[in-house]
Amino acid sequence: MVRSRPRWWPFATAQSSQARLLDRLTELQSVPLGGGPDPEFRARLREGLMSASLEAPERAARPSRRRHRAARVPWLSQLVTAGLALSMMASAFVTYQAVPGDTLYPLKRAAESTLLRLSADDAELAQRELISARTRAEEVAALLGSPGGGPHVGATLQEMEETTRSALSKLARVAPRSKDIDTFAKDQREVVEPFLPQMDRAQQDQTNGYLDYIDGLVPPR
Amino acid sequence: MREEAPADHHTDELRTLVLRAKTGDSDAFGTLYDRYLDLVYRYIYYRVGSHPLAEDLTSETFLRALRRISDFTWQGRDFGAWLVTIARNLVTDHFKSGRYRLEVTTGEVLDVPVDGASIPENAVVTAIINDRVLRAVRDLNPEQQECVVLRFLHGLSLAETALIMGKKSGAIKALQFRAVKALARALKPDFD
Repeated sequence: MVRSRPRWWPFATAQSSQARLLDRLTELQSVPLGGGPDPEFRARLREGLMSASLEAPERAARPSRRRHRAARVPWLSQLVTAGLALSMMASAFVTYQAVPGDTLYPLKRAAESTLLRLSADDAELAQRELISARTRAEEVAALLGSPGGGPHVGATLQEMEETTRSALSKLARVAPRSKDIDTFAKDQREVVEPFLPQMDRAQQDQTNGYLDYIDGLVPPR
Repeated sequence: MREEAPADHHTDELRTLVLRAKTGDSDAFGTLYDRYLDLVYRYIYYRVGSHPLAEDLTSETFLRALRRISDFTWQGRDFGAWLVTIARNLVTDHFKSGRYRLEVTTGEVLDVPVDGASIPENAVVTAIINDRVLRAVRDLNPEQQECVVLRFLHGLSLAETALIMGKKSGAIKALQFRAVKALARALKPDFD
């Protein structure tokens, strides 16, 4: 005897109703939903496309040109990449060599300032400020050796002193007996002192005051 | 629904037509147009619900296809999917322009008159059920709706639907499963 399924039996009911729904959805494919395109439109568009495709031979030739272009692309991109890398290296070098008054000098100072801001602690910041002060000293030397550098010497000396004071006050706090202070004082003197004769009176006074300051940091021997 | 069978005579013929059309053979493109016009037109019409607009967008779809056919790479039975993808992008751009909104009523979509006096009773019942089914399809979320339309109303394969919707076949399978479940829930009284 075949037992009929109770009406509450959910599984087979759900499955069979979904199957019927799927059948219905599939049947909808043959139902003219919204109708097809108007025959007049069909013919008109076909005619338009056929006349537009008269340019086809020209288009057919295009892929070969594209292939040549595609083959050239790696060469071109490699050349452009190499050129960019070279120009970046050259501009980095020029920027690194820039002195006050040069076009790229603000870029050099911006990079330096970013580096200072990225310091993890006071000790690292002090070390980087000492490097900046050394750079200012080298810039003073370069300015004195160049014909148009005179007007920038005073300001650069001022910045060198301020950076040095900022670095040394930090070092005095975090590493009071650091040998870096002695080494720095010695190096700065060696860079700056030889150029004293080329400076005017005001610049000499400024530089002597700076040298006295850094000498005072070195313990007496 | 189309079977995802290995390449057969039909596929070879289609492949030859596409390759000929790629080389600028206008007759081949014309044959492809004859074969796919209904699919593209119906897809667009179902999305926009207006015959004049469907005609405009269908024309633009085939013109674009003609311009870009040299870029089309044959990877199987996907030429129709490629055309529908172009149509889909055009429809999306059209609605993005903000001048129109997607508003399709099943009354507009369904051409079978549901209250005609001269048609047999079973045809009326079928038309009423179809009308309910289409209304339920319209109430699905946009992704489920598009999946059902492409898979069932246009009879596209899983792979073709995936290609058009920019998804993997597995995702379309899952989307279809959820859509059919949602439809079954919505149409419970009709299919119990």
